Amino acid sequence: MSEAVLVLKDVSKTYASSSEKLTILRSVSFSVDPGKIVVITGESGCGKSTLLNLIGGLDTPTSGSIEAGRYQVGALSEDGLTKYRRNVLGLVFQFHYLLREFTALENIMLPARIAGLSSHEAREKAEILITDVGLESRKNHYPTALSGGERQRIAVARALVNDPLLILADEPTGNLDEGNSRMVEDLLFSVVRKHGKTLLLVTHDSQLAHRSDQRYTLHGGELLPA
Amino acid sequence: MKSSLLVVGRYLAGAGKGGSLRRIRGAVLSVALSLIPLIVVMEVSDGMIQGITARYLELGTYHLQAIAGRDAQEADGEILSRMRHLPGVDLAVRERQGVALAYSKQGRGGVTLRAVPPELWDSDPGLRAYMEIRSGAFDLSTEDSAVVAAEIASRLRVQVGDEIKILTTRSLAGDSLMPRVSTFTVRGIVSTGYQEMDKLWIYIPIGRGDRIMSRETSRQLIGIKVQKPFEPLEAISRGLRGVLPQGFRIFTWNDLEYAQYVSFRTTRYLLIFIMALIICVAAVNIFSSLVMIQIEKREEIAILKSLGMSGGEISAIFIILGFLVGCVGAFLGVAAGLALSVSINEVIAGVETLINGAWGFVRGLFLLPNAEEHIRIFNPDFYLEHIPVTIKLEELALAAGFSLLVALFAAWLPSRNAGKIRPLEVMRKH
Repeated sequence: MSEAVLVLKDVSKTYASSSEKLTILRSVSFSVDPGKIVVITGESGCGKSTLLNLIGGLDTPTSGSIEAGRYQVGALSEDGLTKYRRNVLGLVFQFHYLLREFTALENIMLPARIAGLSSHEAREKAEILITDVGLESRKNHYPTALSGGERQRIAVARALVNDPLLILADEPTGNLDEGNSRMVEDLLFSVVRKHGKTLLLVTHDSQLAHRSDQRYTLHGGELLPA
Repeated sequence: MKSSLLVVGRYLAGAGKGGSLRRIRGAVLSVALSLIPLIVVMEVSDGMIQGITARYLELGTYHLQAIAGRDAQEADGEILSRMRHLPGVDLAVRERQGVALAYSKQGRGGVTLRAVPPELWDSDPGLRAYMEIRSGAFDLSTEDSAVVAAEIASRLRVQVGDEIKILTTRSLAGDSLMPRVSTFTVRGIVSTGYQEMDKLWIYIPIGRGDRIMSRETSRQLIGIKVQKPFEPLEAISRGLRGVLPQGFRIFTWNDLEYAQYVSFRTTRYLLIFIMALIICVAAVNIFSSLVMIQIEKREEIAILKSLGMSGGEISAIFIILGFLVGCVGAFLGVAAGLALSVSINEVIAGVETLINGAWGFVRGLFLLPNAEEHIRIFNPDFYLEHIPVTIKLEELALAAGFSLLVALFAAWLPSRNAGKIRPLEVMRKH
């Protein structure tokens, strides 16, 4: 068996206020092998996004460990987190989060430029990906000139440009209508499979879970096999 | 750093629908506008001080003075000739100065008698350049000639050709003074451009001056003019000491007009300081613009961080913006300030025309009587008819560098805060 891309051991997350402690995640443990598509489902507010934020290094666990691509995520310094995000992760959020000053193609190129690729190299990779998501004809358009579905497809392409070990997708179709949702889902799965990437996707849509290699349900802060 | 430059480039290109460019333009404009008065003050005040000082030197102080002590030997024509032949020396003339009372049939007043060689007007181009002859000529060719400054002529109510009497004193044994009245004919009425000088000076020939002013009640000096009075004068002073007889002491114009010159300089530095404060006010504008950009771009900063940009690279975006604002603002400010400085005389003339035009319109509107006087912003009796402007590149560079530093300092805090933004906090709010 090949080495896991992501390993979580007994990860817990508790938010403490002055009056009470709110435990969102309780001893979550699982691992993801390379090239697999893993879907975690659960109701709104069950902690799916929190789990993804912990894995993405955007938040830190209260206890437990997260290892992704040889990085101990919870223990990383600011510099370490920067390297981790550059080298290991591709992120797709519920909202597209494209930069409005950059064209569609430039938005895809941006993580590659941040990682240090030349403009030429980044452009080559972005051109391939924008073709993969079917928006080659829209590459010079700014996000404001794109539809919601198109923006999210660009966001998917952007997540792939640095050839990440792990793609984290947080309700990537949550802001889209049904038609666009299906299109983006299909695209995400097909592109990820085409490029042989590992995808961890959280969603409240249980139908989506059926298309995965591995699926879990998050309930009451505990992760259960679905 | 490359990625920071890329983002800055996009902000500056004004692509998409961001408001950053408008704010950056505003910050650049505030730096440029704040720099204009500083540049104008630096360039114009220096020329103005030099112009005013030059007028004092050419008309009164000379560039250097050799002042005779009580037991000094007489400086004869040969010594003066040797002084004139020293390198860098243009002119060396003997002068005797003393106080006296001048009176005519219609008025009287205390004056400073300046006994100078009759040929001074012809031999001193500096005098000719700054002295205005109101009537007659600077003519001291006869023993009874006197050239009177305009204010005294006005006080004595005399014109060219009129007679004036001058009362001088001579010390006698036992500390008593003997008055002496001498009669002169006014050959010319002149103006120095400064009321304080025009109220005091009467020129008479040196031969007559030696006779009516005693050594005890007057002072003898040798006035020296050189080719470059505003450059160091130590070497010329040494040369002069070697030529002069015993009992003379050399003073440069800087020694003689030190208090006045320091006063001008202090005023200039004070003005520059005040103008520099305006740049600091502009820094507040840069600061607020960058803070607004940082607030507006919080979401984008969070995205950039989540895409792998480091806190340092995020901070660099704002430092680069501050640097560019400083650079472009300094360039525009220096250019506009220079343009205004070199055309300051035309600008003043234009403003005067506008004021006089507006005043004429108001007078016409309210049927007021016509004013005889042309309104002047600067009274030429106290200032200069034409303000000389000297461009000093090192001062321009200093002003531009200062505004750049201020801009960088103003960018520092927003850049620090931007670098500390945590993506999750921003995205959670979204």
